Amino acid sequence: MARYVVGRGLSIALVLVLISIIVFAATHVLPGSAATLILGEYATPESLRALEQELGLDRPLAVQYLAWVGGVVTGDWGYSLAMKQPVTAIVGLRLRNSAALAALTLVAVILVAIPLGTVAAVRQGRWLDLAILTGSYLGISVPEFVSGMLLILVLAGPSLHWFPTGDYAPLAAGLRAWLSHLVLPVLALTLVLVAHVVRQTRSGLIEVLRSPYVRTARLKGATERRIVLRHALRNGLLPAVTVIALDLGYLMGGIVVVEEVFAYPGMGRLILYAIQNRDVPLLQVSILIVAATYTVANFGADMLYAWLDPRIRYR
Amino acid sequence: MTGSRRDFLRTSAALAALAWPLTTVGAPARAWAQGDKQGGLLRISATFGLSTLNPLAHISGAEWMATRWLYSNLTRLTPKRDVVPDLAESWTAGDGGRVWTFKLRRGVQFHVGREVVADDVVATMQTILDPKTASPYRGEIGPIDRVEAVDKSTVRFTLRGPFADFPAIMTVPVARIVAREGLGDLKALAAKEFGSGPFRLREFVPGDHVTVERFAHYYRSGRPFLDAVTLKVFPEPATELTAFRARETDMIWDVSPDLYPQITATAGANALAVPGGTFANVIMPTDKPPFSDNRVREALKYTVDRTAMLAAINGGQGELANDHPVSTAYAFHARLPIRTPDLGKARSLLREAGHGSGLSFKLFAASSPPIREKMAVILKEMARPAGFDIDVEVLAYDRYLAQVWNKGVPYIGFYATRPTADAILMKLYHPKEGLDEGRWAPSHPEAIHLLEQARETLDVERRRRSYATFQKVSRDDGPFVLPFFRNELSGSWGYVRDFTLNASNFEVDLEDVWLTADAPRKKG
Repeated sequence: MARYVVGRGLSIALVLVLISIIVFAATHVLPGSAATLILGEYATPESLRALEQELGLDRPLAVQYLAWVGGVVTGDWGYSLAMKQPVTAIVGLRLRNSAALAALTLVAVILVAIPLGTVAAVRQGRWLDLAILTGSYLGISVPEFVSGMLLILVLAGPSLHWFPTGDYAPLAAGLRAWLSHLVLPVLALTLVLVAHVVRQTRSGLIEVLRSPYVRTARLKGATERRIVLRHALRNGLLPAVTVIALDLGYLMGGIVVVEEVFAYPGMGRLILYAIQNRDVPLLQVSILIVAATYTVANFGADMLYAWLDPRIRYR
Repeated sequence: MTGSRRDFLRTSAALAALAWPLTTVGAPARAWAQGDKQGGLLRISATFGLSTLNPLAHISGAEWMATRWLYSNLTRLTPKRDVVPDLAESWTAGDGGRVWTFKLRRGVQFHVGREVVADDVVATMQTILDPKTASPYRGEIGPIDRVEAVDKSTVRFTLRGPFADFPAIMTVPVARIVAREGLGDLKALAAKEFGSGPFRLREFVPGDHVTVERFAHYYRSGRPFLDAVTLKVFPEPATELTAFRARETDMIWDVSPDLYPQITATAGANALAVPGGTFANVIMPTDKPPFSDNRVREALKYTVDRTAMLAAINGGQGELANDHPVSTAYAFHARLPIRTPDLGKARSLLREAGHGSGLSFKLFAASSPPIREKMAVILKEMARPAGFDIDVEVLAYDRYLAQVWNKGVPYIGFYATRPTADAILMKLYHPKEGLDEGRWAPSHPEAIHLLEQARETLDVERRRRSYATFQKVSRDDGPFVLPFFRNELSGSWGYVRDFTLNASNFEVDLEDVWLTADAPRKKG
């Protein structure tokens, strides 16, 4: 087990290094540099040269990359080229905001999708099952920027105005303010993700409910409620756990869109900003944070898998 | 000298007054006591910008707006386009406009807690001019040769040549005066401020929002009325509009023309529109065929139905233009009949130029701002019946900057209002002081000379004549199709009082602005 964990750790590290190289190379293949974008249509050849020199963009690519790696190793994550601030100072707030958004979305997805999937499995083939499946598919077929916009217009518009249209409030401003800004973005993301998890929970559970050990439990006289909750669900959840872990990737993509629509300052908007401004140090760190989250979450899912199903052993 | 400057100011004021009725301002219905005006939080929204608060490096409207609150300039531009004192109390020209001396107001405090003195002005200007600073506007603050402090409150600029508009140029966003202790670390200036403006920085989250609060020791006593101002970026315009309509914001800045009618339709909101000098133009490089032949340029100019184009792109919000950049917002605008579309004439001009069977060329447009792409696509359709076959290529802004902009190919340019006609003309046509994107200067030295002459004399009548001739030459022979100037559009709720939208729309002057008691955040 220990060997497995160390191995997975090393492979995650390797993946992150490769990603940093790919991101770095990709941003340099794109036309223009941070200097062209900072100066915009006010650039002159002299100011471009001076700025590229100041930003260190006149050095060979490999040197720039190694300098960045050197910084990271010594704990210096670099300076944002466009915002002229330490990347760590910029990322902190956005990371907290996105983490809150992602965590609440995951909780919402689990709280909504697993019960719905369970009900659908138990009522398989009946109208409730059909209604749940249709409803969840409706959610997945509408992209976040459409559902987000609709939520804003209906629930945040001048007539109802139950929630703020966008923006964020720090936790220090009070739990109520903080949460009220999160409701709509979380809802927009949840609508899309619920369908996957409902379907996996449902099919996983249906299979388990047909298995011999469930039949044994029934013959022993256990109530249906006890059978589903105590015996079937734990095994039936395995595919759902995998899907939730994979959905994290989808969630991060969705976050980019949702944060832009809701004017919510998080990692997604930051990544978009970094790309638009060729802000390589900022982009590197932002992408690495997202990639690390994703790989570690998948690792976590594997561990959870082993816990849910003791037959699975990692070596 | 002062006489001619006054003349110039009077002219600009008179011209701006013509545009005045278009501006909607919530006028107080009764006399308000000073105390009623005090206090409150004003929330403004924009859709982009706000990366940095460094006045030496910022290039977006939202950033210019924010530094206007934090800093002061030597002079400032009123909505009527008068140049009035800010940190400088008065100014005089010497040596025929080559030497400008500014007398500073005494006792003005920086937010860092000390008096603004001549050395701060000198240090700020020298930092902008230092090539190492890589300030985007190094070339846009006049031909400064030397700047020195005569005494504690007198600054003298010696220019490379006479320059009549120098006091007006000192109003531009880059010429904000920074306390000299702030100039040591230019990186830090991105998120800190060292200004003497009506507000001081409370919080800045780059790319998202900035909040400023009332500076109690501002030199205009009793101003500003507002306790604080927040400027927030909503990347999605539809969200921005909903936030405004739900009164989560009090003012929506720089609204796109397709959303503007919704503000007009919102009860209780003021739709603000003011004629400015902002435009998009088709740049035709004249140093090589086909556009080296003026008949081809003229033919293209004749294909454009300017009224229809303005209606399609900007909902009719704007004024028609004559293929040169001097709008009625500028003092030296010359009234020339607007060119009317004439496809027959365009066809015969093309034929004369040897393109009887038609002419095809590629026209590039960046995807941002949207006006560029719209103009390219509409021009393509308007010019087709005359024999032009335009292949429009739309590209992302970064690619546009790196591969198209100022590279001698036809593309759609975009320019914001400048403080003076000289500033926009030099930027567009002069090969050294500006860009000459049309590569037009080498073949038209006499026209360029007119511009140089006009900026070098303090004689207003002579200037007017030079600029008038130039506008005619540019209309008939120039390298741009420039069909219209768009109005600057914004919106505010009726409870926001005494705000006037400036033709330079980023000059959001909030010193006199106040909130009535029914404003959502009157209590802060």
